[in-house]
Amino acid sequence: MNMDDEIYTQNILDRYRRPKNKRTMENFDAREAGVNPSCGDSLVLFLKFDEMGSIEDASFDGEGCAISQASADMLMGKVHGMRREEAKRITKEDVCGMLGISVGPAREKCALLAWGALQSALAK
Amino acid sequence: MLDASKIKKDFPVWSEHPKLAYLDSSATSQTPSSIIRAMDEYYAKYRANTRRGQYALSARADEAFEHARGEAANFLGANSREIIFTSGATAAMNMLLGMLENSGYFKEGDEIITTVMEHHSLLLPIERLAKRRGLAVRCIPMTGDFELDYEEAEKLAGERTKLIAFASVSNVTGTIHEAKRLSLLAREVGALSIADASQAVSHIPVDVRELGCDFLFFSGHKMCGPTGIGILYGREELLKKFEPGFYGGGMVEDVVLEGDSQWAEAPWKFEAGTPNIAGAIGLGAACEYLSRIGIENIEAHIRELTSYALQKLSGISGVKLFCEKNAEKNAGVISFSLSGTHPHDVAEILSRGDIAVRAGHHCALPLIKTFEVPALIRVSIYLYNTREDIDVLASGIEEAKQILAG
Repeated sequence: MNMDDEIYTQNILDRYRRPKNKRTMENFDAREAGVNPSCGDSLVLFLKFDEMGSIEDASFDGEGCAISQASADMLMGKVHGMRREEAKRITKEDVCGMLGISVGPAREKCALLAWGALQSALAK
Repeated sequence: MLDASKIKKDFPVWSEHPKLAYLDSSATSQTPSSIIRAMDEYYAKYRANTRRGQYALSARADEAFEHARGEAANFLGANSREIIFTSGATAAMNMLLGMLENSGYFKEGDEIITTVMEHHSLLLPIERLAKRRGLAVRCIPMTGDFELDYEEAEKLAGERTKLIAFASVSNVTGTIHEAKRLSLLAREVGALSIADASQAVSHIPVDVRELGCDFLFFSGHKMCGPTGIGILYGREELLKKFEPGFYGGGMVEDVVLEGDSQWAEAPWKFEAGTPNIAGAIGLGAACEYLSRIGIENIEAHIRELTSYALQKLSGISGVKLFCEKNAEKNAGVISFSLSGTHPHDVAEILSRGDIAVRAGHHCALPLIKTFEVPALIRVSIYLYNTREDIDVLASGIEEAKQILAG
C-alpha cells in the first residue's frame, strides 16, 4: 500500500499505546464528554485554568480507536499552556496536521472527537 | 456437500476482487449473476407498473411480480396470500405494528415481550409504540452462554401479553433461538408472535408452519437478493382481519370521499404505492437460486465453517468470543474483541488484506452494553465462504495485534 495512506504511523501508535495525557483530573474547571456512538468511542476531557486564564492542565480519559485516542492525547498536550482564546482558534485542519496522517472521511469523526469536545468545553 | 469455491463463480464480485474474503454477509450479502440478470431483464424488456395497465408489458410485469410472491411463499412454506412485499425488515416491522395499532389491537396497560438480544429495527418500533399507547415492554434476558432464558420468558408471559417479538437468530451472537417455543408460548397466553428472520432465512431452514409463528419478516439483501425489498409473512386469517399499516394507491377496492373506503384483499391491501418491482423479481430469483442449492446444504456448510472459524479464533491469544460457541446452535455469526485493540482499528487493518468484517455495535446497543465493551468485531459466514477466507482472517488478526498492541 501507499505509505501516504498509512494512518497507523509510529507516532500515532506510540500515543495510543503510551498516552502522555490520559488520566482523570480531580480539581478541574471544565469537564466535557465526547461520544461517537457509531464507533463506540467515548472520552472525557478535563481542563484546569490558572488565574490568568491559561490552560494549566489538560487531560482526557475514556476509550476509543487508535486515531481518536492519539488525537485526544496530542490535543491535550497541544493546548497545555494556551490561553482560552488561543485554544478556541484551533481548527479541524490543525488537528489533522498535528496527527500527521491523511485522515479520510471514514476516520474523520475519530480524529476530531476530542477537538469537538474541546470546543464545547471552551464555549461554555 | 456444497463446494463454496464453485459457488463463488456465480457471484461477479469475485471477478472484480478475486482475493476478497467477504465475511460481512450479516450486514448484506453478495449478489449472483442470475439475480442481477432477472432484475435487468425487467428493466430492459418489460418495464411497466403492476396492477394498473392493460397492455402486454404491464401484464408481464404483473405476472413476474406475482410469480416472485409465489417463489417467496414456497421458500417459507406459506401460501402466496400470506406474503406482503415491503422495502425490507425495518419497514416490515414498522408496518406490522402500524397494522395492529390501526386495528385497535392494543389498549393501555397491555404488555409486549421482546428480548435483550434484538436489533434496533425490532426494538425501536416497539419502544415508540409502547410510548404512544401506554404499553409495558418486558425483555427476556440472556443466559451466560448467549442463549435466551426461556424459563424467564415463561414467567414473563401472561394474560396482559399481546405480542412476543424476537429474532430467530441473533445478529451479534449468531445464536439460533427457539422460535418455535416462543411462538407456542405466545399462542398459550393468547398473544401474537413476531419472528425477525433476517439473520435466519437462507442460513437455516425457515418454515412458517413448522415454527408456528403468526408473523415473520426479513430483508432480501441478506439472502443474495437486492436491497430495498423484504417480506412480511402473516397468517392468512390474521391478514384478512387486520387493517393496512399505511394507505395509498393500488390497495383499494373502492374509494369514497365521505365514509370508509374499501380495501383490496390481502396481501394487496398492505401494498400501497408502486412496489419495488425489480426488487421483488430479484428476491423471487434469490429464493429460486438458494432452493436450487438447497438450504440444508447451505446450513451444513455454514455450520462446518463456523465450527472451523470458532476453533481458529479461539486459538488466537487475546481473542474473546461474544457468541454462541456451539456451531450446531450458531447460524454463522461470530463476534469478538481483541485485547489491547479497538474493533475499528482491527477492521481497518483487516480491510488492507481484502478481508471485509464489521466493527461496531451492530445495531444492538442494549446487548453490546451488557457485554461491557465499546464495540465488537463481527465475522459472518455464508454459502460462498471458504476455509481460506477463515485462514486469511486468522493471519490478519495476528497482524492487527502486532501493529496495534505491539
